[in-house]
Amino acid sequence: MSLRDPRILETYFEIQSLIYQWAHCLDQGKYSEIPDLFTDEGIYIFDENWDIRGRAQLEARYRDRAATDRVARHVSTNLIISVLNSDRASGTGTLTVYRHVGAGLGSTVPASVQDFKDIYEKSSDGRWRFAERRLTQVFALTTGPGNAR
Amino acid sequence: MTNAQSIQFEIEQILFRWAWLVDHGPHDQIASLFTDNGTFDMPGTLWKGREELQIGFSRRSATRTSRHVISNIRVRMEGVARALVTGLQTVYRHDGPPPHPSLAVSVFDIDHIFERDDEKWRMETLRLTRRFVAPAQ
Repeated sequence: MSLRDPRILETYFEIQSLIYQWAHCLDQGKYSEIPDLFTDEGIYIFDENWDIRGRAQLEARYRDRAATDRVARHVSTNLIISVLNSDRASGTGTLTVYRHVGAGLGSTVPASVQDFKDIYEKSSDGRWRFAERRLTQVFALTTGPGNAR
Repeated sequence: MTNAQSIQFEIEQILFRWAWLVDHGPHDQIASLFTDNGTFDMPGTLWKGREELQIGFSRRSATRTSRHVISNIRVRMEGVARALVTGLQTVYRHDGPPPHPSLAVSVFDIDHIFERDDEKWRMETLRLTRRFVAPAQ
């Protein structure tokens, strides 16, 4: 399909909304909403830090994650989408993460700059979800409180 | 979807593709994103034409790790086949093995010109002006 195909544009903005919703949930502490952004068999991997497979594992990860004094912002940019068919697409981009724990304001130096490589699927309810989200850290704040998880 | 949104989307995808190729390679595909007489203009670098672009981008260090983060893209049309594109480019870069520190090395203004032939939009001028730099370590 050409980039000028209206279906590509429609898919792009729907998937972009999914990615922004994922970041919004993480940044605003709406952890219970995150599992529903993935398919039932969804995979969520971040280097060696975690390898989560399936809705049950996702729900377990976020069920007991209480609100803390952690402040984070996940900035998603450079999104390139390849539409594989009407209900499957892949995407890549850059995720810049600002993170701070404790009183006061955090540093403007990102805690992390990551690549994301995703596979998206359109579910039977018409919503796009992550079938796979793989994060790879490329740059990191190596010292200081901003790197706390 | 309006025509303006469609053009914005196409141009953003080309810019993101440019950033991807610079950061991940293969670098010999970068020149094809430019017009035949395309120009790459940033402080200390001026390449003009496909051949210079091909040579220039292929000289990139094999040990360099970078991410070119592109945002705030605005597109203003000049006729039907020429677009003035502004935005921001934040660059993370490190030469050598990890760990790669996450302090951005530069923030640039983007002032690009895109032209469309029958086939697709291409970069006629890619101009970057440095506005912020990392403090000396």
